[in-house]
Amino acid sequence: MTRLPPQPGERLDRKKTLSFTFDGKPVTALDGDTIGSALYAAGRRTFSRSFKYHRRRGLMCCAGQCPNCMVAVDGAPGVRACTEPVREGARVEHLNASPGLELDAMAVTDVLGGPFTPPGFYYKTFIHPRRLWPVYEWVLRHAAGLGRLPQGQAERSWRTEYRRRHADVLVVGGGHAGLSAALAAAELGADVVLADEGPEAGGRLLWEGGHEQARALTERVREAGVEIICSGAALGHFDGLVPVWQGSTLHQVRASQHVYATGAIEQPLVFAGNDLPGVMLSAGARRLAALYGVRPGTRAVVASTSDRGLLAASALAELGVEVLAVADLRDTPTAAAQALSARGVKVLQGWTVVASRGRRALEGVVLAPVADAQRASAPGSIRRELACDLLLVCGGEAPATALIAQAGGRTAYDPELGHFALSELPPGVWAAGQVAGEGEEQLAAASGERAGLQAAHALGLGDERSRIRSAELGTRLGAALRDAETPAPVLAASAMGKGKAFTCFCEDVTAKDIHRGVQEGYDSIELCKRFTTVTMGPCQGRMCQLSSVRLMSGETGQSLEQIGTTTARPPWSTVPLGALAGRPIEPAKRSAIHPRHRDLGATVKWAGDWRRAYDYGDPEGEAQNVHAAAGLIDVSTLGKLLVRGPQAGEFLDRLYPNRLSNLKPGRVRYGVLTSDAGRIMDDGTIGRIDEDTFYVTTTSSGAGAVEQWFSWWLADWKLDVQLSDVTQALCAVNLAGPRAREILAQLTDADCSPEAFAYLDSRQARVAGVGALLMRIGFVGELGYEIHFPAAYGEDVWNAILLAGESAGIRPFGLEPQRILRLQKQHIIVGQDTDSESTPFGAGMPWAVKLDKYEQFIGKWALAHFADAPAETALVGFTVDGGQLPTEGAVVLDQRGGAAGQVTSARRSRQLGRVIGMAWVPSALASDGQSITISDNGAQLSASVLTEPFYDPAGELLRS
Amino acid sequence: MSLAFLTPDSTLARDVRARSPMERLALAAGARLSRVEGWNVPNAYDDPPTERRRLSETVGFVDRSSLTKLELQAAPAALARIVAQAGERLAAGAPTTDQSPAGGLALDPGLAAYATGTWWCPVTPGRVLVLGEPAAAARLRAEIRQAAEDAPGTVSIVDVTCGLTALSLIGPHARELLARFCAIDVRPAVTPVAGFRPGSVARTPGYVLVEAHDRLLVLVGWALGEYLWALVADAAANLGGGPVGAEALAHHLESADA
Repeated sequence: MTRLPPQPGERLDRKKTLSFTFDGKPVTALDGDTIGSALYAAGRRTFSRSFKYHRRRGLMCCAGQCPNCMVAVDGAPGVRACTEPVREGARVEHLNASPGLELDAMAVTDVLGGPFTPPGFYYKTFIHPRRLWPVYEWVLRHAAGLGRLPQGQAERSWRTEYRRRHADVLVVGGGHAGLSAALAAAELGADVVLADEGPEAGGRLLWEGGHEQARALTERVREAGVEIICSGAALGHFDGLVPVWQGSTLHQVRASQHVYATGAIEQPLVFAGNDLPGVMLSAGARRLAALYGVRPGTRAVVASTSDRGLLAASALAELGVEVLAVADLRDTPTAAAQALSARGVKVLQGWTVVASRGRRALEGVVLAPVADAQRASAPGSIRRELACDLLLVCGGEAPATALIAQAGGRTAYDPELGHFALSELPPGVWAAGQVAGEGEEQLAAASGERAGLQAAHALGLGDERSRIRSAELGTRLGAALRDAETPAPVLAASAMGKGKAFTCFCEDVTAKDIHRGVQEGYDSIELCKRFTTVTMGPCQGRMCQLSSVRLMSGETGQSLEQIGTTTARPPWSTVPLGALAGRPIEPAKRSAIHPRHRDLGATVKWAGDWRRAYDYGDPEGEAQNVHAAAGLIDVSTLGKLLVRGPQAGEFLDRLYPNRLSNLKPGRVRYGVLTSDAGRIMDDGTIGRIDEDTFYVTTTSSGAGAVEQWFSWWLADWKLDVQLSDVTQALCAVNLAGPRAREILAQLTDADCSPEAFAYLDSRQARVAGVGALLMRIGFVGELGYEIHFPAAYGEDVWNAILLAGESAGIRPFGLEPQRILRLQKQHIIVGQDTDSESTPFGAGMPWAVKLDKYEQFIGKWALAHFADAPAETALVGFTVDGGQLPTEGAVVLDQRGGAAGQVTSARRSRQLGRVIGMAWVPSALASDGQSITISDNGAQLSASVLTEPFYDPAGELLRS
Repeated sequence: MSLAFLTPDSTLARDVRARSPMERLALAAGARLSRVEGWNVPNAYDDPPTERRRLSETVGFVDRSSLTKLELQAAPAALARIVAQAGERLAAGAPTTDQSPAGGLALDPGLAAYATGTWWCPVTPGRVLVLGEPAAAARLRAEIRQAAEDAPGTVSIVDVTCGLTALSLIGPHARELLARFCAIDVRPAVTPVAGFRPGSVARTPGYVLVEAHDRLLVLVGWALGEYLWALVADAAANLGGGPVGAEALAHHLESADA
């Protein structure tokens, strides 16, 4: 019977059972069980197959630290069974084994591999012949990896939540020290968040007999107002931001002070067969028994380097487990060893474990004196073999310093302690408990309380009494540490040379692999890490960092201090990529008319950060209709700026290369905005509303940049001008076509006659009852009106115009037809027809530059230079002689066949009956009638240059 | 010439409505609309007890895009004087039941001033965002214009009512809801009632105003209305909340006053 009688601190509700399946077979669990504890209680010992050699792996840490129990739950791979609570009906499946967990074909690599498959063998082996690499890659990719993602997106999606949490103090780690820190800080008035990886706070107290104390302390902490995030793994420390992944929520905790009470990680021992199911960390076995009421084995052996393993042996003996022997690496018995001996347990001082025995699970162990441990089975060496089904190992504890290191803390090897200990903490970061070397039972609370007080004091909280208390705790901790027991030094590995002795369980890296890596020249820990992949697996070095450094030290003869550690990088704990992606809702801008576009069946596409109507199903027909009758397009995405003040004209004169201060109220002028290098930045129209107010439009994608450009110069020039961005406040539509005037006349009280409302005039009037700014301008080459009005009326005004134009044959048109129409007029689109090198001269717009302006303006110096030195290339129109449509970006060739320019725009024009486009060509070819050659995906197209607009070159229609 | 083409008009014919950019999504969520000051305003979505429960027990969100929003720009000293004077002028004509402070408004960084139904929110030393109820829009504009008349330098008063869409998050989980899409720290100790924070809201430029201990007003660009609704509705549903109409809001505010 694997289940123990009810344990005092267990998490189980034994009255309630749950059912789930493992590889299709039903399993019964108790409420409160993890998948791991339920499977173990049901007799399962093999939980997974290892990454490379497909060796059997079983429960080891029971704390989500190691990779041994990773399974897929309801299709999601990479779940640690030992910490995942059982859910009714859950579908649990093994990973990385085929056809099954018990019979895995790839386990052959364990037999054949090893000498033939050292680290890096596939880099060296599968490079020849090169042409077979795709085949190798296919095979390797299918053989590698842990689990398989579901194929369907629906099965791969699950809801993840982002939550931002600001706090005064974040405590990471909810053991005795963490709880004490949180309580101390909260009691001084700090807003505290505590995050703990476990399902409940309390840490080691929970399974070492202090569960009542832990739960009472947790309650006090909660009552003090601390927010406790359980099952919440801190993923990293990013300049004060600590993401904590909990279930399906990513808490982004930003605190002023951080207390790390992350504890220490019990280390495995490196010996032959140290991965066999039945070999467990001492704390893992204690967790299993105390929290889940599961007997970890019936006949146990313990191998330890400190009292922690010996205490575990006592605890197991209390539960009725037969403890056959305890191999204590230390020569001298401690009080814990004496207590065990008094119970009749054989304690072997100065002994350790050198090998395990068994095929499917542990059947026995081989112990040896430390002096003989590294001599393998040399003649004369002493060995003792014991039959058992459980081996508890305790190879000391490594402080969990990774998060502190990410925060800027430093560690140094402490030869007395036998591990890397904290040597320096960055400002605003405090360490408490085991991670600070103050984790023993009597120290943890004091250490935590002091760290909590220090964090609160750093926030300006607390008083004289709390400061005295903090100092007292410091004194007490210092004295206690001086008296602390020094653990024994740990062997790098036992019994080298026989069987696989793993240092890294995630990546199947053995002690021999480290040896080979060093022999090949990878003799620094960072190089060795990259070569062997040690510390790069899901445990993130928890199980292997220290042992691999020890092995490196042994191989190179360098001290551990000289070897150092690998860089601690996030994520510290396993996290699904989906957690980092956030909610799948994009910040899309939509015009206020957008719902009507959807109603009308528009094809909607991204245009910058806007969602825009690309067409309504017939782009060429929509363009044609603008010529034939009238069209209506939503141009609300245009940038719109109000420039106001007595110096507004001067301000614009300084920004634009043409003159705007002389613009009359009620008139509109085109402007191209140039950088201080004289290059085209943006373009648009500038209308003067009154003496002190200008209305500037920009391109849709350039709105933000232009607003920033204006603000920047305004701050510098300190003119009496105010700037307002009204881009999103106003809808804008362009009503264009020969019948535009009569349609508009039905909707407005303004006089729309050509005499009263001429080309480049602007008026304020009501359109469909709504106050609007009208500008007689056009991008599409026909008589046109741009109508700007409050966005709240977008749908109604749009509807009213379409209704009024119904009898005139009006149709909405989208972005694509607009591009055809503007191309017919050779109107440029900044960013498409121009790039960061384009000047107004090269783009055929010398008229937009007034170098005779008396004012200085941005880019004047550069533009004056360009005016004197003709451009090497020029933007021109072209028609393709054969009627083929070139790709935008196709190359324009010079006479010698070299690349000399490129096509920027090309469309088929139904109105003109030919293919038209714009291209940058050598200036020598930039005259009407010149023939150019376009190289497009291997084909060569012949085209003729035209520098005038293709449609209505004199602009008569526009001005009509 | 004025900038009338920027200003929504409450006197328009009945067939022309000012619409929030969230209207379609509100309708899809079951909104029942009514016309208020020329605006289509969601009156209710669900039955009144459900909506009131949201406001008192979890969180509700209310489309308040119809709020009048004016951008006031001037030199800092002139701006402070205009705000103080406009506040006084508005208070002078306010009903006696209004318990707001009578004028003399002062602008502190990060803190909005409230008087007679109007919030004066300092964005920069030279720029204030004024928020008021649509019913008082005309008077608000007039009083500000009056107060600005003698101010030195250029004073710009621009109606940005349709430039910013607005949602109120109301209820005990209002802050929690905001935290699902915004990193601005609105803990009471940091951002008290009347706290005003320009910043990144839902990954876009926006503002957060703490109207009351359980009420946050979120403003982002008008064109992002549908996006904001989708984001907030998604997060609110996960917290047990949902949309709330003007009726439940009015009831909630009355209860709060009582």
